[in-house]
Amino acid sequence: MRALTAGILGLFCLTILAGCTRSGDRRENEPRLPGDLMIVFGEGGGITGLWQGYSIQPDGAVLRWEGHAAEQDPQRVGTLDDATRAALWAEIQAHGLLEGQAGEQGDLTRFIRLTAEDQTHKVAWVPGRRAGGGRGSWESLYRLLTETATGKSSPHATPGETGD
Amino acid sequence: MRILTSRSWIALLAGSMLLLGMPGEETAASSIRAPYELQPPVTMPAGSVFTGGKPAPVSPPAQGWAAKRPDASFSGGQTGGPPADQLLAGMRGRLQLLQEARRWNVEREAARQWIVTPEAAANLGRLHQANPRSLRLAWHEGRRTPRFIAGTDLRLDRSLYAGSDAQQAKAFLREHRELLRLSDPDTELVRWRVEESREGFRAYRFKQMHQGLPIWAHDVVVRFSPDGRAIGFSGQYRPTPTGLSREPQIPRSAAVEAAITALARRDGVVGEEESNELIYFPHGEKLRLAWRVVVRAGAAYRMEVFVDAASGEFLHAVSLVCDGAATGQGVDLAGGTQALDLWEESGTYLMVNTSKAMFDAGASEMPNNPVGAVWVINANHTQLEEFYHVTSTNPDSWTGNANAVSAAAYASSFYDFIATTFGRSSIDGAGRTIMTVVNMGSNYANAFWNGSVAAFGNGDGASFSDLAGSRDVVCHELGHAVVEFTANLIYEFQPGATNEHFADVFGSLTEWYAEGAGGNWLMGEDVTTPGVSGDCLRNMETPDHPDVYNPPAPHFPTHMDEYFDLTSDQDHGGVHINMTIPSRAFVIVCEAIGRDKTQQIWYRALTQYLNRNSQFIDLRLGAIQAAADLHGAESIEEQTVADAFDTVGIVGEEGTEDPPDLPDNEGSDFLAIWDPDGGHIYRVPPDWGVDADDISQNAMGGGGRPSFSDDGSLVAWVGADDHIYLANSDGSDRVQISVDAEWWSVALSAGGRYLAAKTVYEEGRIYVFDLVEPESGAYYDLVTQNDSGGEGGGNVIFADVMEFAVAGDYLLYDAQNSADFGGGVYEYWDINMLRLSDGACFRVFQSLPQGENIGNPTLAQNQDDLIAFDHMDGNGDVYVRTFNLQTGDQGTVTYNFSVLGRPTFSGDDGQIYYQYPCSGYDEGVWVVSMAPDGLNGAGNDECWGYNCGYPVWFTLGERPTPVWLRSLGARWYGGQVTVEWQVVDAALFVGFLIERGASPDGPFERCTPEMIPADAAVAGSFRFDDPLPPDAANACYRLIGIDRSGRSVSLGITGITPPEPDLMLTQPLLRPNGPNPFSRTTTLRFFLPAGSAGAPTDLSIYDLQGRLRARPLAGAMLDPGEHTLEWEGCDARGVPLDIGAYYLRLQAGERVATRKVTIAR
Repeated sequence: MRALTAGILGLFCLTILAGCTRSGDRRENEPRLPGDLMIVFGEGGGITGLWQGYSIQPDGAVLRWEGHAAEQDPQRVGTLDDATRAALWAEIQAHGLLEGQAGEQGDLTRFIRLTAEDQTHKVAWVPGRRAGGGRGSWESLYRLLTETATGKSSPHATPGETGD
Repeated sequence: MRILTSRSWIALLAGSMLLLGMPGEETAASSIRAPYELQPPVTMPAGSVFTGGKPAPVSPPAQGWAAKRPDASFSGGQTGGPPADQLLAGMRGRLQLLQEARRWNVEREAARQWIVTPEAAANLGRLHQANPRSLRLAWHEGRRTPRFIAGTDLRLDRSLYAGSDAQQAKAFLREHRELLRLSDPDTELVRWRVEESREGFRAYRFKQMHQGLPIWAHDVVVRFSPDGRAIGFSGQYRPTPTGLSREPQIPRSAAVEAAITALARRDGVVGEEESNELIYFPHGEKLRLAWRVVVRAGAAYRMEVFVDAASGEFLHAVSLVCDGAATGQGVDLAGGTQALDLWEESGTYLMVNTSKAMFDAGASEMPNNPVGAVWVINANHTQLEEFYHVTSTNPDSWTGNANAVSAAAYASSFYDFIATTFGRSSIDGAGRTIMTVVNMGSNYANAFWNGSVAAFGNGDGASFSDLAGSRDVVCHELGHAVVEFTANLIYEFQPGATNEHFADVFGSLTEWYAEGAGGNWLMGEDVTTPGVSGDCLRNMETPDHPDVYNPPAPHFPTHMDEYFDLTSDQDHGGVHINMTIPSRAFVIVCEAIGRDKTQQIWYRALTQYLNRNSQFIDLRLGAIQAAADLHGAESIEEQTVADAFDTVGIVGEEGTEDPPDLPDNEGSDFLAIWDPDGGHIYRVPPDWGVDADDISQNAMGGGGRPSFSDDGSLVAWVGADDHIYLANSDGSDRVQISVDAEWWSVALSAGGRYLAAKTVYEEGRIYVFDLVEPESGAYYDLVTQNDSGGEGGGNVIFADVMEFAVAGDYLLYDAQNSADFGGGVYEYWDINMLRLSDGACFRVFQSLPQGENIGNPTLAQNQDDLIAFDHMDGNGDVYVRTFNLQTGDQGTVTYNFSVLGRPTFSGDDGQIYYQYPCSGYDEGVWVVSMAPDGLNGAGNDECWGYNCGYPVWFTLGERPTPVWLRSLGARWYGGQVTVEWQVVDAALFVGFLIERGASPDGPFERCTPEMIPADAAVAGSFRFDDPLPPDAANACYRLIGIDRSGRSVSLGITGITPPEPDLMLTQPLLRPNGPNPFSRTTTLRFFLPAGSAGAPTDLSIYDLQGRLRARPLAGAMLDPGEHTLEWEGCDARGVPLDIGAYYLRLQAGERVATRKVTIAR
């Protein structure tokens, strides 16, 4: 065998596939908020071709951006405290975003991109199509992120809420 | 009136495309798949399959696709056949038709059996002659009748047309009866009513009769111009029926009683008969003699009931209480009055327009499942999670629904435009219901097409008003639908920009069509900045016009010199920006030769020449060819098109090349086959030259088809115990690599590093594990991309067969999809590609007709763009087919009756092996050669092996590496490593990635934050500076090229060369600036060596044309060492530079260093 031996394979018998089969159950909620947690979400395209959305930076700063590409011309519009960000982090994990990959491209695309612990995960979908996620849909997570970033609601108020 | 839940909107979409399918019936797909059921093993002497040479077939090899019948039972038990004279008459008629079709140049219609007599061929040919370039035809595929004919004058023999208009309409039907396939139009079509427009256009409607009885919901329309020319025909009818009885077996009284009883049971209403008559009722594609009984119970209940006149079976019931098509009017967003075609349901009017020729009354279940309607839906400010009818109790009053009125009118005009101009029946060319959704979201300032509906927000009142208020916006979104059902251009880079361009084309052309002199080349001017007049979203004629609202800086591009070279993260490569370049070319052509000619050229280019990966150059070539097709080679039209593309800088003669074939793996060939007796997997050479080896040593699971690495050294499969196994391909060192017994199928990547896996559970999810770095595992949620019978949205419930592209960035897979329809569940299989780098799913085929399934895909051995697969049609017949993902070419390898073939290509792609019973065994493997076109089978099918199945070809050996790389090196200098390379032809690539590893054997990790574009070379060399030098002494770098199909190719690996001592003294270095791209400020970093002491330092900015644009440093005297400088992307006057790419040039003494920077505001 070229690069793998039974011994090496035996190692990941225990590591690769154990518990990898249930989205949302595999990863226990991290008690610690990652210091580099960065959440960028938005949408763009359609008839206007414009992109708009928000970035929640590691220091809690909330930036709103709008332009002909994502993350153009960011403007600070608020700040989220650690508790709020921790609640978002819990929701993100519950939705399975850290494990999932979904990349749809369409006339108009919505996306959520997360950076945490030196890893980046991104999901993108077309509104109106069913898009997966560990608990509920990416759409429900997107709505929560938007409402949190705009101050219209807090993730603390929605624990246990199921997606559509 | 709320109509649907968030789940049942899928049923809504399914209903709009159904071809008379019956809800609740078990589909052929569900009887075959998920999971596989293995055939019972055949008892036979042990080892007899594998002894001696290749088993001989039971009967001599047969010729042709269907000629592999060693046993009559495999043909379905059919014996005998039609009488000889009937066969002869049929054959003669067919030959005569083909002769006549060739004479009149209508061979395509003859081949498709739209015309079936020599007279019809002549009829059609004469129509073409009489209406050169204006004749438009659309066909009802199932019935093979014209559903739409339009032309300048469809009268061939004027002498036949005399008398009143109504008589002339009859004359039209008589003159074209052969084409219409009506034996006696005078008796079969009875005049029903006439409609006349203000301008004097007349439409004569006729009901279809047979043997004096009406055929329910079958009628046709003949249209005349004000000056008496016959200009159009459309209809839902069928060819003159034959063999139908006119004598009811069930007496009238029994039918009445049955109707009343059925309604009482169903509705709880006991009514009484009002009237009855004998008719023919369409039931599927057949007609049944039926009693039509009208039952009434008070003023609010009046039903039309159909009872089979032969059996007394209840067939159908339709409400007659003020139901049906209605007309009205409403005030639109512009304050104008629009005529509306509506649907009335029990006194309520809905915006469901059933007046178009595409409407299929027989297939529709009104009002929630119209087939062939133009339908406006209210999202009630949800994110398309809820749909409601738009309703009114007064057909002439739609207060509060002005946006729906606008959407209805504009969508209707779009249908009319494409039907009249291109002969296209709706967005898919087959009468698909057009669905527009208003009130999307809250204050939502956008509109889009999502693959199923066109959705429009209300606007925010500042940037945009209600987006449905613009005809060109509504028709732009519906234009996306046409693109999707034709070339299906993918939404990224130039294909995506071409997609957007065509959407603007459709939007603007519909405006010209509907508004005549009121049309223009502005997009969205009616809804952009409601408080500001004169601006627009885009200007197709002058993209850089100052009145364009909020353009990308400095303006929308007018020429390829202004092309926005963006990454995939930036508007998917600028699809909504670069679209204006081809749009400008389009307008130039329109103004030179006229819109009528230009729209035909562009439509032909879209539908005949482009495919989903077409670049701007392909649009140029397609449009030029289309112009030549329509107007002749070297015509002024062809030259005008070429000149227009020259004007905007889209030049060249070479289209997008197909990706080159992979070099053959010339190692040892094997077929892996499954033994049904014990379920083990064996490998055997194709020539059966040696005994078969048991490589699995255990039974294979139902979905556990083995998968091999590209060099054939490794194999993975799922056992009957639902565990995943890995072994050398000779069966040695087998190991179970799963912990839990829950797996169904697997695929191994070409390099043997990644394993895609699917569980046994019903979930639309594929897992991809990294066998070298296990913690890097991920799963991918799959989205249904294929519309089968109109289902949209992602209800993937089970993926099965998977295969990695050799390049590794794509996974080909099939998946079972589930959709709710009419209270039942409709399931079907389709094939998609999953791009692993970002999880994007791409459909392989467009709308799959209901009842059809495709699956078991496999890639060719030496091409990642050629697949073979099983295709089961609505009759349950299976064909092994091929499809080229780049060109769209398709072929048929073999007809396999009802047996799934599970094909696999041979090592040189010259043969396909597939499953089929053989020599009396239910399991066998056959082989067929490929024809020279590489797509079709050669018809020389023969049994290769019996009592075996699931063939999978693999070759044990290495492919030779093609020479793409000219040089590759890495040197350590000044605290960082610089990787430089040159390629033979940068045009073969989209970009490059660099990976860093501790040793040449890996593992490697990516160290380029984003792809280095293929045009980033400076003097032919690419360069990447790694600011994080590796610790290991044997560290090395791997260069990855991304070719134009998105494949990742490993181009080479290099170690690190220590720097020359003198370079450390004299060579300045430019570090990566950050951020890059940047919008406001970036930090420039550079290193000045000791040898530069005393020399002035310049830092200059040049554009891509080599012009000096800024000089942040000029003649600065700096100390050796590291330096930083903040730059705001402005020139010396403080004016911001334009968005785009620039060269940064550092000069210290005689030495120069350069680097690319990008401004993205």
